[in-house]
Formats: sequence, structure tokens, C-alpha cells
Amino acid sequence: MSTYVEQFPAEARLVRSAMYTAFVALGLGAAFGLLQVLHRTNVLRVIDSTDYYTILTLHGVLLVLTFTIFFLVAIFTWAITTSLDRPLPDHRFSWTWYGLMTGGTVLAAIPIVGGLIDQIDMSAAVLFTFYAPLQAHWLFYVGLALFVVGTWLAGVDWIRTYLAWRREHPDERIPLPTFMVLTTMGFWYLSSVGVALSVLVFLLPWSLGIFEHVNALLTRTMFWYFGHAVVYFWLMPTYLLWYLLLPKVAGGKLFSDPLARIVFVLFLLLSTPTGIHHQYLDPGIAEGFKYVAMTNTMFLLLPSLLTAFTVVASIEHGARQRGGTGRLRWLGALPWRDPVFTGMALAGVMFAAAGFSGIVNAGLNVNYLVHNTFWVVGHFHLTVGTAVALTFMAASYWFLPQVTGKPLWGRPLALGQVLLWFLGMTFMSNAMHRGGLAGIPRRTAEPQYNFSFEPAIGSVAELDAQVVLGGTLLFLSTVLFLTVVLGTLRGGVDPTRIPANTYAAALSEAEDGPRILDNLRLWVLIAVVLVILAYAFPIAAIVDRSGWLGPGGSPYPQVVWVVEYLVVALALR
Amino acid sequence: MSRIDPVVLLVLLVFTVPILVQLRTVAFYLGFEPTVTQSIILGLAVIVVIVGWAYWPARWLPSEPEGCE
Ligand code: HEM
Ligand SMILES: [Cu+2]
Repeated sequence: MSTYVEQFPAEARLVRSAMYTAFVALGLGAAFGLLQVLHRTNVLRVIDSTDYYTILTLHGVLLVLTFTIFFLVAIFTWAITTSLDRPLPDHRFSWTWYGLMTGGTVLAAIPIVGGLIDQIDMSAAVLFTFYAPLQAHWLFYVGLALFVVGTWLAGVDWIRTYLAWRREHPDERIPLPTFMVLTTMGFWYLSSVGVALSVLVFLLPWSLGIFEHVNALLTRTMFWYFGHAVVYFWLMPTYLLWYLLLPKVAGGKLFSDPLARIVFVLFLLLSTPTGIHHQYLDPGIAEGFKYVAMTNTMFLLLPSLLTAFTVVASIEHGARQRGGTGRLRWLGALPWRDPVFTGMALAGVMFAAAGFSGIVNAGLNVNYLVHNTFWVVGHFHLTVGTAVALTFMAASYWFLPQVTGKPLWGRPLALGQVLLWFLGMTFMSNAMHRGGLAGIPRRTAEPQYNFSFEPAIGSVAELDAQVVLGGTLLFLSTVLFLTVVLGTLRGGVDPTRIPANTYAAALSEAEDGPRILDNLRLWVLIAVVLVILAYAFPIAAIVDRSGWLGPGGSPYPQVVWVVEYLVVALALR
Repeated sequence: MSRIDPVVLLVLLVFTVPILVQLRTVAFYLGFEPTVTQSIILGLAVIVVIVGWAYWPARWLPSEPEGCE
């Protein structure tokens, strides 16, 4: 029994580096978040409104692409090596993918930041969704492509480790953490191919001037083909931590290993053929295809509810092991002093709330009410912004000692940090949801224009105040988090004060489930078939109507013409 | 001494905040329209009640088994 850095010193270095990169992205991203909050509410404006999209692009890219994905490659590397009990096969290869991811991030960041500097004739204010008609400098697309290829190679690294293990253990069940990594990578390959094609075949040549125009709807559809699956790319490592780390720190065992496998298989099958639910309002996609996407999305509720059940059951088991009794009284027996536990538990609670606003988003007709409003921002700050981000921060308090050999510094501070995040998000997200219902748009520096919104409850000023309060608390929480990280890193190495590197055992073991669950080839095959069913016809229809490169012309003047016609018509009346 | 562990109390208090925030919305739908100030005072009152409950000498109340360590 020893720490991870003692067992796998070389891998620990890689995991560490990836985590530090993630933390830098988190700190920067949070600062831009605060800027946005203050700017939109007109409390403090340090940037020009015309630079708002550049800031928002940095916020989105740094947080949901850089922070989350660097952190998850760290978690996945840990999961594979720990559960298979073997190192990665080739360290030069491992550092290559890490280098590609880092290099890609830097290349993509250059043109975004360039947008803020007058002397640099570059910009990439295309937001983290980067579909046409917004166009970035070509360097942004090159960086993006390198980053994605880096994650692909990381997957190859993990699969190679798994195959080497398989040769030595031909009849064993796949250890659960490895199973989780492999199923996640299954849909990551499947979905990120879509965005890679969009970038390399359309957007990059277009930014280089090779194509005069591209088919905007096609690039949107190809982005969302990946854009929903990427949500699960962030969530699966979160689930991994909820299934494997949370029961352990709660003092118990995972309720059921086979149930966990079923959940991950369902996500492999359903993550990708749902992307069109982000395009319910896109003209040019027939309602029938949207209906198919909605049906698939509603099916995703099943693994989410299974997860809620399993996680709560595992925690309850832990509480009872610690002497907890009664119907609800056991809740008091949980290790609330432990920021690792409390952070992840609070993240889970917020995720439950996000489930409810998610059902609203997912409904084809109800979506019309909230589409592109502040409601959606409120929703995903509960999902990726809390369920994922808070879990990652809380888990860092467990992982940092594992990968550095240094005990956690400032435990009470860490506890305060996770509580502060929960408070901040309560205020910010609630006001965003309510603002969205009143029609306040997202993605704008000037939400008010010359328009006054009338919330059903309270006033816009009140909602603004709540957003500012929440955003400020969240920023402070991030600063606290980074303080604890730095404090820990400054400490001395003392492995004797660090828990051993293990994860939760299961009450119901892998052998209790059917073997077919481990047949990854079968599940990937079914996932591919589902994707073809969901996407072949919509894509064919889009291309059939306006060609691979679209009809050309810019969407903007057409709108202006309509207005001009109306004006002329009124004048002639 | 408090009835529950002070840290559990702290978590409990943090937990009541989203409930209070949501209750305000519920209140509006039920026809009560508390202003921001009224809501804050009401929220603080609830928090005072919970803290009071936690620190009220246990012997004043029917004895209950302790739930936590
Ligand atoms: C310090 C805490 C944070 C604050 C104050 C904050 C604030 C904001 C605000 C106000 C917006 C909306 C801007 C607009 O639509 O005009 C926004 C957008 C967004 N935030 Fe955050 N946020 C924070 C943390 C996070 C975290 C941790 C994540 C994810 C891990 C995240 C992901 C996003 C994404 C993806 C967008 C959408 C960007 C877009 O529309 O292209 N944020 N944030
Ligand atoms: Cu989605």
C-alpha cells in the first residue's frame, strides 16, 4: 500500500503536468468569467464591448476544452495504470501526446489573444463552438486540430496498455476504471472525428482563403455532432470519480459494478446520436430528425438516474459503515470535514438540479422558450461549471498528494472553497435561469440594448445583483482553490501522511454481471449504427439542399434587406 | 456543545441557501411578493433558527440519540 507517485513515478509526473496545465486554464478562465459578469451587468467595464467575444472565447475554450480535458487525461492515465497495475508502455509516446495537446492549446490561444492587441493582425473570436459563419485565423484551427489529435494519441496509449494487460490476463474481467476509460474513448473517437473533419476539410481551408464560403449549417451540424458527446467526455471522468473515489472517501463500497458498466455502455451508445438537440431552432433541419434526437436524449435520462441511485446508495453504505443509522440521520455520519467528499457531494446535488433544467432544454417544443437565453448559461454552469468543475477541484485535493507525495495543505481552506463555490453558483445560476425565462439573451456584451426585460419575479436589477454576487464568490473560490494547490506544492514530501492509492471496491462485483458487458467491439459497433441512423439523413438533406460548401452569400445583409424592404413598403403605403 | 458537529452545521447552512432562494420563487407563485430586503431578513431568520436549534442546550428538549460522532 503506497501512494501513486511511489508506484508510478514517471506516470505521476505526466499526471501532475496535465493537472497543472488544467489549473492554469481554470484560473485564467475564472478571471474572464468575472470580467463577463461585471461587463454584462454594467457594473465594471474594463474591456470594450467589441472585445467581448474574444473574452468569451477565452473563457469557453480555456474552461471547457483546456481545463476539463487536461484534467481528464490526467484522471484517465491514473485510472488505467492503477487499475491494470502496470505503467504506460512508452513514455516518449506519452509525452508526445501531452506535447501535442499543450502545443495545440498555445497555437489556438495566440490568435484569440491577438484579437485584443491592435498590433497583431489576428483574431479568433469564434467562441468555443467555432462554427461558421464566424471565422478565425487559420492558426486557431491548426491548434485545435493538434489538440484533438493529442487526445486521440492519449487514447491509443491507454488502449495499448490495456491490450498488453489483456495478453497476460486473457480470461479476466476488465477492471472497472479501465472499462470506464475505454467506453469513454469509444464515443470520443466516434464523435471527435466529426469535428476534426469539419475543421480540416472546411474551416481551415476557408480561413486560408481556399474556399470562398462554407455551408454554415453543415459546419454547425458537424460541430454539434461532437458538441453533445464532448459534454459526456467531461462527465464520464466525473462519474468515474463519483463511482470510484466518492464511495471510498465516504468509507464504503461502490453499490454495484455491473450497474456502473451498464451506465457507461449506455453513454457510449447514446452520447453521439443526440447532437441535433442543440439545433432545435436551426432552420434547414426537418422536425422529424429533431424528434429523433429528442427521443435519444430522453433515453439518456436512464443512465443519469441509474447513476444518481448508485452514487447515493454507495454513499449511504459508507455512512452506515461509519456507524450512521436511521432513515436520514446517516447523512450526519458522512465525512463532511473532508473537502474531497463534501465537494463531490455538493457537485452531485447541483447536478441533480441541472437535470431538471436539462429536461426543459431537451424538449423540442419547450426549448423554444429558453433557446440561446441566459437560462442555458445557468444550466451548463450547473453541469460542466459545477458537477464537473467542482468534482475536479475536490478530487484534486485527493490527487495532488497522490501525484506529488506532499500532504494536502490548508484542509479547512479547501472545505471553505468547495462550500463557497456551491454558494456562488446557487446565486449566479438561479439568476441566469430566471433571466433567461424573461428573454435575456446569452452571448452578448449588451443584453439590454434598448429593450427592457420583465422577469416574472423580481426585477432585472435584482437578477443582475445576484449574478454579480454569485460570480464574485465563484471567482474568490477559484482563487482559494489555487491557493490551496500552491500551498500544497510548497510543502515537503511525506508519503506516510497520505492515504494509499486505491479506489472503491464493489458490493456487487463484475462477475455478478453478464460477460457481454465487456464486449466493447459490440457496443462500439452498435454506437456506430445509431450514429448512422441519426445523422445520415440530416446530413444528406443539408448537402442536397445547398451543397458541401453552401450557397454562399452572407447571412447578415439578407436580414438587412428584409428590413429595408419593410421600410420601403411602409414608406410607399 | 452543539447538537451536531459544527462542520455539519456549516454544510447544512450552505445547503439551506438554494432552498431559500428557490422558496422565494415559490412564494411569488403563491401570491406573496417579498422584496429583496424582506427575503434576506427571512433567510437570515431561518439561519438563526437552525443555528439556535444546533446550539440550544440539548437537555431542554426530549433527549434524542446523537446522529454523528
Ligand atoms: C469563476 C466562475 C465563472 C463565472 C463568473 C462565469 C461566468 C460566465 C458568464 C457570465 C457567461 C455568459 C456570457 C454570455 O453569454 O454573455 C459564461 C459563459 C460560459 N461559461 Fe462560465 N463562468 C464561470 C466558470 C465557468 C466554468 C468553471 C466553466 C466550465 C468548466 C464555464 C464554462 C462556460 C461556458 C462554456 C460558457 C459559454 C461560452 C459561450 O457562450 O461561448 N464557466 N460564464
Ligand atoms: Cu447536448
